[in-house]
Amino acid sequence: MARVEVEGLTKRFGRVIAVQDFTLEVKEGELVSLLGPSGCGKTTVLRCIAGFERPDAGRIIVDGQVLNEVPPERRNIGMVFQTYALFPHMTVADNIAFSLMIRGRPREERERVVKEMLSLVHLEGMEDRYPHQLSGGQRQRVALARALAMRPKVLLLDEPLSALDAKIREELRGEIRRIQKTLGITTLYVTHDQEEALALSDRVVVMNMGRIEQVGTPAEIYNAPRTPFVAMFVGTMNLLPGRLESDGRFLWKGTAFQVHRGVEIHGRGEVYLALRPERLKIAASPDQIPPEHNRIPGRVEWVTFLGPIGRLTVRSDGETLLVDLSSDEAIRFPVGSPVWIHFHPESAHLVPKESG
Amino acid sequence: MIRWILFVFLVLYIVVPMLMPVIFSFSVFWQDILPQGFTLRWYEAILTRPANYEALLVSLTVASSAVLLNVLITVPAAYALNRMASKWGQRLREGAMILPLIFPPLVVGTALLQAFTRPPLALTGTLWMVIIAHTILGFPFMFRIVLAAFQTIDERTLSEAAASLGANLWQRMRYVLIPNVLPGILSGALLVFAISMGEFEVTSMVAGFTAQTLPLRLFQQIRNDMRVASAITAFLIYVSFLSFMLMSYLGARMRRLRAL
Repeated sequence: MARVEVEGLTKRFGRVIAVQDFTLEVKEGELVSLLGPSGCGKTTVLRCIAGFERPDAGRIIVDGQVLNEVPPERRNIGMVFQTYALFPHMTVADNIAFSLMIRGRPREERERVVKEMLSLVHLEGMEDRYPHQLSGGQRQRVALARALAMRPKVLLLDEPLSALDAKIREELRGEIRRIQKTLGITTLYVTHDQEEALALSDRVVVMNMGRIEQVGTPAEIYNAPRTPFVAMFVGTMNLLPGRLESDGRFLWKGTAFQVHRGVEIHGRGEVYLALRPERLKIAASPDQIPPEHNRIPGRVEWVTFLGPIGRLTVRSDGETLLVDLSSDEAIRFPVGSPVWIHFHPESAHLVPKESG
Repeated sequence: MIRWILFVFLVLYIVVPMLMPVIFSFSVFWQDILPQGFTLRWYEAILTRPANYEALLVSLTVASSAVLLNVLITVPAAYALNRMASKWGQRLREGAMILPLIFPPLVVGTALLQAFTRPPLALTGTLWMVIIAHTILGFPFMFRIVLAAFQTIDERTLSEAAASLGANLWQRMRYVLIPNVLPGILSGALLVFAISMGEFEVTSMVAGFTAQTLPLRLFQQIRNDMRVASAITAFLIYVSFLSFMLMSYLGARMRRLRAL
C-alpha cells in the first residue's frame, strides 16, 4: 500500500502536448479513475507512473520516493493492459508466477502464490491452460492475478474492460473493485466509460485535452460538474445557456428561474443551467406543478424507450430538452402533446461558461 | 478443365526438370529413355572422395556460420528497428529489407572483392570471405522474417508487461521476446542456411582454392562426372526442400500464436 503523488506532470509527443501540468494525490488504498475521451492524456499519465514514458516536467512520487529516474522494472508497480498482454507461450500458472520467477523465488512459494491468486480471481484449476484457451474475461482475470502476484505498491489499469462484452464488463468491474478493496491496494484506473468510472471509483479525475477538468467523488462529478465539458461528458445533461442576475435568479430566454446550486459561482454573468433528465418532471397542465418549482412549457417531440425508463425529447422555444420518466409514466405523454417541464430549485446546477 | 490442364503443364515444366537429377542420382545407368538400376554409389562418392567431402564440410561450415552471424545480427537489429516509431524508422525498416535484394550477385561479388582485398581486411580467397559474403546475402531475407515476427507479437506491450513485473532488458529478451519470435528466427535461419548451401555466383568470385563450397565443386564435377554431379545436385535439392517444409511448419505456428 502506498501513496501516489503526481506533481506538475507534463508530457509532449513532438509538438503535441499530451499532458499538461497534471497534479494529483492518490491516498493509500484509494481507487482513482482517470476519465476522459480518447486522446485526453489519461493513458499517458498512467504510462508515466508505470515508467514507460519519461515526463518532460513534473515528478512521480510513490511513498515519498521520487521515481522519475527509476526504470519500470524496479518500480514495483503492477499494470493491467487493455490487450491483456499475457505471455502467449506460458501457461496461466507461469504467467502469474512470472514476477516471482524473475525475482528467483523458490518453487513452493511460486506454487502457493499462484493458488492464492487464482482463487482471488476465481479461476481455480486453470493453472495449466494457455492464454489462447481462455475467454477474454478469463484472460483479463489472469492478467490481474499476474500483476498482483508480486504484491505491488500500486496497481495501474489501462482500459482493462474495453475489449470485453458488456455483460462480462459489468461482472469484471465488480470483481476488480472487490479485489482492490480486499487487498487495499492503491489503484489508478483509466477509462473512457463514465459509467465504469462512477461505479468503481473513490474519486474520479475528469480529463480533457491533457488537462484536469475536475476531481471529485463520483457523486460530486455527477451532481456538481464544474465545467461544461464535465457536465456534457458524464451522464446525460441538458445545458441551458443564460444569465445569472445579481439577485441570484437565472434568466433563460426571458424566463426567470430560482436556482440554489453551484454556489462557487459568484456575482453575475453568462452561465449554463445544468439539468439532469431524471431530475426533471413533466406535468400536463401548470396547475399540477408545486408552486416553488421552476417551469418550462414545451411539446413532446420524440419518446425513446430505454427499458426501465422512457426518455422524452421536449422542444421548447427552439431548445431541446431530455426528460427521463419511468416507462409507465412516459406512455402518458405521446408525441405531439403539449407539456410543462418543471423542477425544484435544488435540482438545477449552475456551470460557468468558460472552463477554469 | 482448362485450369487443370494448365496446372499439369506447370507441374511438368517445373517439377520434372527438378526431378531429373534426383532420378539420375539413384540410377546406375541412363542412356535410353528410362534409367536403369538402383544405386547409392554416387551419394557415397560425395562422402568418400576427399575433394567432395571437403567441399561438403566447407559448405556446412559456411552455412552454419552465416546462420549464427545472422541470428546475432538480425535479432537485435529487428528489435531495435521495430521500436523506431518515427518516419525515419519506417524508411530504415523498408530500406534495410530491400537494399541488398536489388543488387545483382555480380555487383555484390565485385563490391566484396574491392572491400576485402586490402590489409587489414585482406580476406579474399579465404573461408572468412565466403562466410562474410553468405552472411550478407542471407541478411535481408532473415531480417525480413525476424522483423515480421517482432511486429506480429506486439513486442512493445509484451515488453512493458514484463518490465512492470520486474524483468530487465535481458530478462525480457530471454524469457518473453525470444521464445515468442523463435519460430521467426528458426524460419529465417533455415532460409539463410538454404541460400548459403546453394549459393554459386558470389562465392565463385570471392572464394579461393582454400574455400571450395559444394556448389563450386558441383560446377567442376558437371564436366568430370555427371553422375556424382547429379548426386550433389539432388542433395542440394533435398536441403532446399527440407528447409522449405520446416519453414512452412514454423510459419503455421507463428500464425497460430498471432491468432491470440
